[in-house]
Order: sequence, then structure tokens, then C-alpha cells
Amino acid sequence: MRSIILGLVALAVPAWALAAPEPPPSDAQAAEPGTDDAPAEPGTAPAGNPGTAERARDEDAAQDAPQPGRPVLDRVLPCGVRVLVARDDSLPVASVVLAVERGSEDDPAALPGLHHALAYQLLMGNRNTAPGAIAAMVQDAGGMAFLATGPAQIRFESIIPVTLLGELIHAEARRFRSPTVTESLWKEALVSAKRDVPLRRATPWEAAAAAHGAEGLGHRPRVVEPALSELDASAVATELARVARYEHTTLVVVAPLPLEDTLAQVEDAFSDLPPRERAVPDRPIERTQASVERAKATGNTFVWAIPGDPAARLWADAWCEVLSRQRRGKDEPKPNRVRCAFDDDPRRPTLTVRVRTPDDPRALLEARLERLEAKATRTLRTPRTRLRQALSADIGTPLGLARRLAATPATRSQPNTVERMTGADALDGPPIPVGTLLDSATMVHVVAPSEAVPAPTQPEEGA
Amino acid sequence: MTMRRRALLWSATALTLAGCKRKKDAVVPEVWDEAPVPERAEALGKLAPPWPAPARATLDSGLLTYWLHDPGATLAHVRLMLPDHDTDPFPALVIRSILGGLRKQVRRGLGRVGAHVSGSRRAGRVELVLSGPTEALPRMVSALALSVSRSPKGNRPLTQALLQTRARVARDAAARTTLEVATAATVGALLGASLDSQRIDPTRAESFDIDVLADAWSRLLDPRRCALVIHAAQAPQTAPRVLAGFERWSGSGRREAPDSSLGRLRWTPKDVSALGHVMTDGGSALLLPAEKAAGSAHLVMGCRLDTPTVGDRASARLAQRLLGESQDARLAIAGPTSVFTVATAVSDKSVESRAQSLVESLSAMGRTRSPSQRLFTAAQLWLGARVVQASLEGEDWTALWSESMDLATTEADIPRALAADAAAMLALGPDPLAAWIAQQLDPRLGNASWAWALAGSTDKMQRALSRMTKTRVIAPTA
Repeated sequence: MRSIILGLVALAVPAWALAAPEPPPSDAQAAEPGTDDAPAEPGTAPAGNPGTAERARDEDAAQDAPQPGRPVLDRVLPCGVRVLVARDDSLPVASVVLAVERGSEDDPAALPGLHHALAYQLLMGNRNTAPGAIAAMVQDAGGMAFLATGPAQIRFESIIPVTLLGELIHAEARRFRSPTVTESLWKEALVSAKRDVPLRRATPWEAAAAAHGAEGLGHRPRVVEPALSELDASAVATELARVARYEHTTLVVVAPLPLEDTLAQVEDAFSDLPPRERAVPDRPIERTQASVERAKATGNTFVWAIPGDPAARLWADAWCEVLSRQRRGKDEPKPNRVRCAFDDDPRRPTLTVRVRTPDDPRALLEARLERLEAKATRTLRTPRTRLRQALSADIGTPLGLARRLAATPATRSQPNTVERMTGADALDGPPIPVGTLLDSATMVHVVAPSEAVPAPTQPEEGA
Repeated sequence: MTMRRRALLWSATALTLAGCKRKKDAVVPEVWDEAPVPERAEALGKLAPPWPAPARATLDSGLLTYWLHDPGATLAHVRLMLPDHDTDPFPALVIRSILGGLRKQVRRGLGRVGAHVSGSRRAGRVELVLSGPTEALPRMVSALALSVSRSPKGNRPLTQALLQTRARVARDAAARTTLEVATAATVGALLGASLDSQRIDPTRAESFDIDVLADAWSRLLDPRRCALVIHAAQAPQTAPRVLAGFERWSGSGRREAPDSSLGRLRWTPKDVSALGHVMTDGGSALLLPAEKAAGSAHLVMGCRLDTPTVGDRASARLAQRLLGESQDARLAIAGPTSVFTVATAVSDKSVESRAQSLVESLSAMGRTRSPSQRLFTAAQLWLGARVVQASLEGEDWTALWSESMDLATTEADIPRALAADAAAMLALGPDPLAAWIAQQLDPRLGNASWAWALAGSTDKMQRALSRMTKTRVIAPTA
């Protein structure tokens, strides 16, 4: 019996990570239908341009042109998987992150917690490997394996001595092929999933759902509902076939090897998968409600959805710190207080502001934001330094860099460098204006049930 | 008639064949003992940082410095190494207070540059480590230089650190475990050092004189006895400007400065000829520490190993890894001398049998030949985990340099000690390892000197053990 060592994901939200005990080995490895022939999930928008080979070649050529900074190779392989390759020479250590662009947001309404549990099910092996075999391989070589699940991403992360890199890439290229599903393994996956502490955030989930315009965000991730234990093996296999697909996935490899050599290893490992069009869900921000009702709400809480790109996340974090530290204006009464909390996430970050005032909270907040904008350069100096240092420490290690790269937008952009993709360049440049990030038109006001803004009345049928 | 004869003949033949038929094939035990793939072993042997030769310099103040240049480093690391001994090791209370005082001072000097300060202890030395953004390196170095240059007289952070240490020790006294107490007694006996150098006694801490601390500060914080290791993106050419603060560090020792860092920092333990084997006539007495400790009783056995060569150190490490699969086995290497301990929990009923089984398992290891693949897996796990841990802890080359120092015999060996250690571990065959274990780790027949201690013992345990061996009670003030 082994146990997968899992740690905390060192993104800005440490609680995003989970601890996943590895299941015991089992003789029952029912081969399930392969996932390769399953149709692409409806509602997903093809990203990248796999159909247009010429354009892809042009993009690759543009990317290969020398850029200032540490280069990152960004390719979409014929099987639909996006590959990001970077180099870190400081130690003979490599890091591999397989990020599936699915999460609790995509849980069916009747089965909250499904994706969280499926992530554990994917540790139960497949037709090539025994339950927990990949993590066991990593551990036997002195490495560590981690699992992270969140609202819109599931990540399988490993840090290993570089001698194991080829084997691990090969294993990741087979993780989704015919995953082993049995009733007993599904129960074990659910037990492991239930052990995780539910994700906590400053933002009420229903407000995050309204701000992002994603209904699926309305339930807390990592909560395993009893309905999941009623799924039989075939239903689990069907769900896995829908979720665990390489065209939904990004593979990040950071190794102390030439980029092309690392990429060649990845291409070789994935070469026997059938061609697929890349399909990652489009996750736009479309506010659905201007206010949400919440019992015991005081009407002083305001929520914004932040775009899930590194630059926006960094600047939102910086503005949030500045807003919390901002002093009262000369004409403001003493009880006035504004506090901000930033819930970071690679795909669905949110920012929550709580205002305490005897007057109109909205007016106070607008005045405060206006004052912030006026002294942006000076006030942002401290958070900018803090964020730059944290970012610099992260991208200096293979695992930190791989996690940061996995959090970059799911579609290709070019040309790419570590500094550009992780937002380091954006931190050095002019800030994103606070008015752009915290626009009152995209704000969601959390109010008590009696204060809710009345919904527009629908015309009656036949009227 | 012919038919009958034929039938008889066939029957006879069939019966004969059936009688000759062996019911089962003879079971031949098959040992899977293939050598590892050469390319894999070769690659693993290179699991060491790709560091170039460091820029080594001795400042006018006598401080020895190593500059590890890593152009891609995003963080800078500064590690100051101080000896924890003069002729004898200093009490643990002194070392902890000085380290605490230094940390406080350095933190104050750093301001808000976002650097992290920590302290650690290794065999023969203490280390103060600063990690922070590359651009903050000059500030980090100057804060450190200012802190070590301060006089111990009227040094407020030092006094505060002593008070804090006392308070923490008094608070945690009840939480001290029997395993810690037994290990301290065993290691103290093996190194010929006082118990005070191994752990802090709350009652003695209360009566500790601040002047003794000031005297120890003067003797330990001497640039002629310290070494400074820097890992940074900045080129070594910037060293004179960055290290200017340390030029003014005079110390108050005014003693001879050994040329090598090993000469400055490595402590040679006393000869322990009084120790011998365990559970034999005339062997080492079982130590019974009189200190109170929490938890069930623990028996710890340990030996001092001579590890003058890379091969010896690799053998010791692999033996510890193999034994660690079934026992709580630990190993601390400091160049030519290493300390190996193995511990087990005991109860009134099991104390005799546990002690005997521990000795027997160590003896049996020397008679057991481990397959090559098992050795390779153990070595791979150890070597891989070393670099992975270094990466997770922020890719601090100074930490790896510190480990290299422990694995080196001479100054020139330090840069390549990790790679040599890896190569030696992978090259070690099953037979030489078994022979080394039999020679060194057999508590009844081996060459090493052994000591053993039982903490948390009851009268019943002591009576049971006194039938097997002589015992000696250790007072807390020993």
C-alpha cells in the first residue's frame, strides 16, 4: 500500500489543492470502453486552429523567432492536447503538469462534486497501469505527486528527478486511456474525495456564479453529495469518457533539457492517439444578475468577476491590497471601512469588497475607487514588489513554473516567453486601471432577500 | 494371445512410466538479480547540481567565502556557517540562543525587502540562511554583516533570544519524548560529548548566566572560524562590493584561521574506547537517562562509524535505507565520522525480546545478500529525493553545498562530493555491501563502537534488562 503524497498548490489560493490518498491495488481492473472514440462534448468551442495546418505553421514559425526572456514552446498536437515546454537548468529536476480544463463548474446540477470525484477516479489506473501506479512510480524515484481540483481545472502534478522524465511523459500520455472503473474503486474514489476539506472563499458562491455568469459555480467545489455513490460503474465510465479527454487538456513540462528535445519526447508519447480537434470550453464573463439574495446579508458586499488571465489576476490582487490599506478620506466619518479579499483561481477568480458605513456603501466605494486611481503609481509600489517577488520565486523552480504555465489561458497565443505568459511582463508595465477591473456595470451586489432588485416582469402568455 | 501379451506389455510400460513420473518439478529458488540498465545508472549518477567551480576567496577579516554563480537564479541565498564547538561542543542552549539572537538582528536589518531568515544545525556547525530576491542580495549581505559584527555586550536581541529559549524550553519540557531523550543519551555517549550539547535541560536553562552567552558569542562569531556561501545570479566579480561589510567584521577571537572550511567547521569527536559491543560480556552498559519524558519507553542503539572514503559513506547510507524499510534507522554523516542509530518502542513485557530482535535484525543484515535491483531502487529513491527536495525548498544551492561539505574529506572534494556520492551508491554491489554491514553494523561482532539507551523505563524493564547487561543511570546534569 502506498500513498500519493499530495501537497498544497502554491498558487495564490493555497487551499485550492487537495490531498489525495492513493487507492490500494486491486485485482479487479475492468477494462472500460476506450475514450478515444467518444464524441466531443457539446457546448465546447474549438480552440486553436488544428484544421488549418498553414496557419499553425506560421504560428510556430513566429513563436520560434527569438524573443527576449525565457522561451516557451506552445504547440497543439494532432490528438488535441496542448503542450507547453519550458526549460529550467538549475537542478536535475523536471516537473510535469497535466491540466484538464474541467471542474466543479461543469458538474451536472443533479451531481454536484462529480468532477472532484472523477479526478480521484483517474488515479485508479487504466488498462496499462494498476491503481495508483503512476504516483508509485514517481515516489519510487524520489519524486512527489499532487492532485488539485477547482472550479474549472483539474491538475495532476508531479516533480521528479529528470531521469524519470521519459517514463512519466509516457504515463501521462496513457492516463486517460480506458481508465479502470469498478464499483469498489469508485467507492474508494468517493471516500478519498470526501476527506478533502471543502473549498472556502471570501466570495459567496452564488455571487461568484452571478458575476461570472456561470450557474455551475453556485455550489461549493469538493462537496461530495450522496447522489454520487448511487452511480454505477457504467455511468462513471461514461462520465469519465466525457471529461478525461486529451483535447480538453494542457500538458506542461519544465525540464533541464533543450526545449526541442523535451517536445520530441512528448510528441513521441502522444503520437499513437487518434487526431482530434482541440476543444476547451469557452468561459466568458457575462454577469447574469446585478444583485443576489443571501440570508443575513447586510447589503455591504460587492463582488466582481476577474478575467482568468495572469495579468488581470496579478493586478486584481494588487488593487485589492491597496484598497484594503487605503486610509479614510478627510471628509469621511470614522466608522467608514473598506476591506477587500481576492479569491484567486486560474479560471474563475473573484474579488469581494465589504464596505462598512452608516451612509450609502455604493457611493463610498465609488469615491474610494476614484481616489485610488488618482494615486495609482505610488500606492501600487508595495503590492507590485510583493507580487513580483512571489512570481519570481515561483517561476524559478520547475514545479512553480509549471503551475503558473498551466494557469495561462487555455488557448494558444504567440510568441511566448515565461515572462509574458506568467504575467511578469505585465507587472513591469502600466497597471490595468482599477476602473476596468472593478467596473460598476459588472458588479454584483449581495443583499438581504428583502432588498433584492426586482426582476423584470415577464409578459404573461397570451397577453 | 498376442493381443493379451501386448496389452500386458503396455500396461507394464505405463505403470513403469507412471512410477517414474515426478509429481512436481524441483523448486529452484530464483533470485531476480539483474544489474540496472547502465544508461539509467549513469544518468542517476549525475543527479547533482550543475554548479560551476565556485569563486573561493578569503577576505582580509579572515572570512572564507564561496560564490556559486547561477545566472538563471531568481532568488539569492546567503548561508553563514558557524562552528558549534571550540574544543568541546557548546551547550545546546547557547547555540540556540545565539542563532535566535542573530535571526532577530538580521530580520530587523532587512526591513521590507521580502527576504526570509532561517537557522539550521548540522554536525559540527550552525547555519544562518537568508533567502530573498536577487536584487536584494547587497542588502541581505550587509544586514548579516552588521549583525555578526555587533558586540555581545548590551546586545538586546541576544538577551531576548535567551529569554525566549528559556520560555520555550520550559513550555515544551513536558512534550519532550522518550525517543528524543534516549537518542540524546546515545549520541552523547558515542561522541563523548555532554548531554547539554545534545538537548536543553529546563532547570539548567533557568540558571544560565548571560555572561557565559556573551563569551560564547565572542568565541563562535569569529570570521577566522566561519564560512560564507552565496548562491546568486550576480557574477562573482561583484563580490568585493557586496561583501564589503564583512571586511569590517573583526571578531574578538584573534586566532589562527584554518585555510579550509572543513578545518574551521568540522569537529573531531573524542575517542570512545570505553564503548564496545552490545549484549555481550563486557560490552557497553545500557544507559538509563533519569529525565522525565512523554510517551512509551524507547530503546535506542547507535554506533559510531568510520567513513573515511566515499564507498564507506555510500555503504552506510544504503544500509540505513535498507534497514529503514523495517526499522526506525537514522544516519548522520560528517566526513570521516558518522553516527548511526536505530530505535524501537518497548513495553514491560516486550523489552527483552525487542532488544534481542533489534540486535538480531542488525546481525542478520550482514548475512543477507540484497538483490542488485533492490539496492538500485533504494539508491534511486535517495538520490532522486535529494534533488527533488532541494527544488521544492527553493533551489538553494547553498543547502546542497552544505550537504556536500558533510560528504567531503578534503576541501577540493566539496564541489563534486554529491556526484561522487551518487556514483558510489549506484556502483555498490550486493556482496561488498553485505560484507561492510557485517563488519560495521553487527552489534555483537562488528568493528564499530556501540552505545544504547532506554528512556521512559519502568522498574520492571530495568530488572529484566539487568539480567542481560549492565546498566548505568544518567543524571540530567551529566
